[in-house]
Amino acid sequence: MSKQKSSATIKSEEAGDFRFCDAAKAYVKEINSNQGTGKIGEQINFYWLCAQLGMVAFDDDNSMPTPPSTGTEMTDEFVGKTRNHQVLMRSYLMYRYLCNLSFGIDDLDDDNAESVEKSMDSFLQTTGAHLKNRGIKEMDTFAQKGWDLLESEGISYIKDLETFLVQYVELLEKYASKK
Amino acid sequence: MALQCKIKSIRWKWIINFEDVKWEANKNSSELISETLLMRNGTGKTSTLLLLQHLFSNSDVPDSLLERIKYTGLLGTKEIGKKGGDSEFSVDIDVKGKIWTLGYKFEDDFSSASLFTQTPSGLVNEYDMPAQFSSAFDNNIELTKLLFFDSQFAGSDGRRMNKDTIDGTMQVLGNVKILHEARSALIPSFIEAQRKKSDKKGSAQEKKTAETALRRCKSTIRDLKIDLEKAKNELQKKESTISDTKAEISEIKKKSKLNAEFNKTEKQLKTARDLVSSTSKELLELLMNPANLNPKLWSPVREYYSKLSKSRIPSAIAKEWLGSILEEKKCICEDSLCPKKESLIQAKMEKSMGLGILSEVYIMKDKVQVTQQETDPSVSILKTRLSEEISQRDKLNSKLGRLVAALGGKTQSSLEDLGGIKKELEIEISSLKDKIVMYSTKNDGQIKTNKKDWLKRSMSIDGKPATKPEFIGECQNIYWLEQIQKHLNKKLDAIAGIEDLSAAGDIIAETFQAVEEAVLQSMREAVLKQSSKNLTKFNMQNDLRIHSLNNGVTCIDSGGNTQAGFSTGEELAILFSFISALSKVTELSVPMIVDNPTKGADQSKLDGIEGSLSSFEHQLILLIYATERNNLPNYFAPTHTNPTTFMRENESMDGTDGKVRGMFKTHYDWDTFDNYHPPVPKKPTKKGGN
Repeated sequence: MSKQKSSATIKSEEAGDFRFCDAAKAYVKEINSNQGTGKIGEQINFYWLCAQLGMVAFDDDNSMPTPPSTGTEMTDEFVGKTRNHQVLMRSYLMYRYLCNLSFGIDDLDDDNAESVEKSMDSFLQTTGAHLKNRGIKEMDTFAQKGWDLLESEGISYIKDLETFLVQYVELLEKYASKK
Repeated sequence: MALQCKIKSIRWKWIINFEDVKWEANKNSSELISETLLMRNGTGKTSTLLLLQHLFSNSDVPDSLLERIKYTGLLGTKEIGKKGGDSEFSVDIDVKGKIWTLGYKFEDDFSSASLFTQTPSGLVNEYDMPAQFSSAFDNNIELTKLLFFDSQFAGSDGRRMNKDTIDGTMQVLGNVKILHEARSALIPSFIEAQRKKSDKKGSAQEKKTAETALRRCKSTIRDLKIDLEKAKNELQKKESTISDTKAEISEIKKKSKLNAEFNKTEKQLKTARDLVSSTSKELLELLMNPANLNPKLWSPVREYYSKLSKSRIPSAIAKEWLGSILEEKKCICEDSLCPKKESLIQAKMEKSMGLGILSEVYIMKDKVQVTQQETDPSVSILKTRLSEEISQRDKLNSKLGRLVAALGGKTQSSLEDLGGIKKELEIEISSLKDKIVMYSTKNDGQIKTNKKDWLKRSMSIDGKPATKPEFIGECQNIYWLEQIQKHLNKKLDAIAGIEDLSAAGDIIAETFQAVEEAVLQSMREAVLKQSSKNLTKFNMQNDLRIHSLNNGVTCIDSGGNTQAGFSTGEELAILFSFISALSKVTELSVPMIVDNPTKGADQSKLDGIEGSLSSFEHQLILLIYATERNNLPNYFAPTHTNPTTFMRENESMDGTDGKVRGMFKTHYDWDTFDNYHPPVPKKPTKKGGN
């Protein structure tokens, strides 16, 4: 299934799965099986929507939930609709990650270059999802944060994709307006 | 492949409801290429269609079909004491001006069917059609299912024109099916035979374990294939039931005092739903790309990446790039390097040398910089638009509910009951479709995303195929089982010491696959071009056009959105365009048969169907029941089609039977066709299929 990797690559690279909580997965299933409305498609599409919301909302309270535990694995690659946008998704995630490590935009000077690179090196890799376990866990945590928000805002009770999308965008707009 | 063929006649002898009846083409006009066969409901249209699919493709008649076509005519009502002859079904086919008869003879108890061919030079008890005909149809049920088409299953999700069917049809017509069979069956069985003959390298225990696992793998594949077939059959039944239910709903509305209001509101609702669906797809697509977030949220990211790792590049590249300047002792401005410049470059090189991962970061930097936010329309505009469209859709839904309520009494409760049944059936259909996808998908991403539920322990934590039989048995996906099977075969090849032979087999198989793919690709391109041209003759809503044949037929609308499901009219138009294109590319002129072309279709779809039928350029045979005649009044006219009405000898025009009904006869005049009004049978309302 996955492309053949050289043994050297396998040694240096990590293979982890994205994890997504069961409640969120059940929600995707429910929306997808709802007749007469649109479909989200792959679970990872919704995982991304949650992660994106989590990243947007992070500035609001700087809190991070506990990521989903073993048994909630999904896939080890960006698939479905996320495949085409994975570079930008990783970019947003790494931006959040580096900022959280106190490498804000003003800290990107030559003095910090090596430290920043080391952080990036422990976060990214060149195959699979192009994220090491650290990166995948970071994305899982943001996805969990996004899902928690959808639950607390009552959006997870909406069972048709169309109304969900409207509410989702309104939530994003709410956070943007706080900027 | 040049083939011109036409169906000249069909004969039913002591099967289904028929005693002995023959239908002949062009009885009314020899100029027309369209034929319409009108039979009352339950006479045997769909059974005829299924028999033709199997007969043309020389496929075994399944038990379910044999059961379905058992003779039940006058004998069933004891109007006669016994059958008047052998049971047969045959078709006269004109192939390049010569008539060939292809038929089945059935055992008395319909336990089996034997195929015969009456060639111009004599009777043969097997499939013996001319070479051009055989190479198109023999063993190609995919093609006959496309050509002989039951439209009550159209319009659901375009499943009829899926990858397997389209590729299977093209493999045969492109003469590459033999390559496909060689690589998927002949080469593996040859390797297996050599494995059995060879000396063993591995231990007997290793071999035994792998063989047990392989057996489990094969039996699981077999079981899943049976389950898949069952699910497909079940789906077909449910779709047939839902189609009947929709037809009943449509009929009740048609007869109600609010028919005009229903028609208008349903048309508006369809438009509103289409808009909601298209906008939500577009919005979901935009939300997958974080660059489409509000600029207040995304601009800081862009700014961040413009500053990130500005003066650093991966050390290997720094060494290669700046080292070559130092080595040549020549600056990029072509000036020779002085010691001062040399030391500056050396210092720069050392300072620039970053970690290898920077190559990955540079891809991200570049992507962030070049990706522009989508503003036409933006996420925010689409959200507002979607919100308005949802509100319009909901208003129309409520209006429809009010119309049903306004009917009151029995009509209202019948519609509500049918609506409930329809909803339940939709849920069952959706769950069956999910099941079919689970068994049959080859989509890597889909399998991986669902691996926990579908593959269970048949995929190890690191993504490798399981080798323990009990783990293999847990797998619910045929494609992954085939990967496990390949893996186990390789293991057994290694134990048998025939790795080299096995590798050679792989290379030959890959070569065949490459040739097959090249031929298919070239055919796909030619057929796609021609299909698109043909489709312009049809008046397609939203400017729908065929986008690709790589994964079956996929279409896009004017907004560039992929459309997965089609309405009946759309599917007919696409199918006609595809068949015409295939016919042109492969120099094939073959008949198409459409069963129940208008069943369950509302007015907006009927317009599309009428257009599709009128634009088809090869022989077209429609099998209809009486009420369908009113659905396409312009098409069922002397300028378009030859009529045939199947009536029992002593049956009156209102369908009342005489004391002795007499055998079925064919009437080729317009008067009978227009005035035959058999009663519409009342079906018991059922849940969950027939």
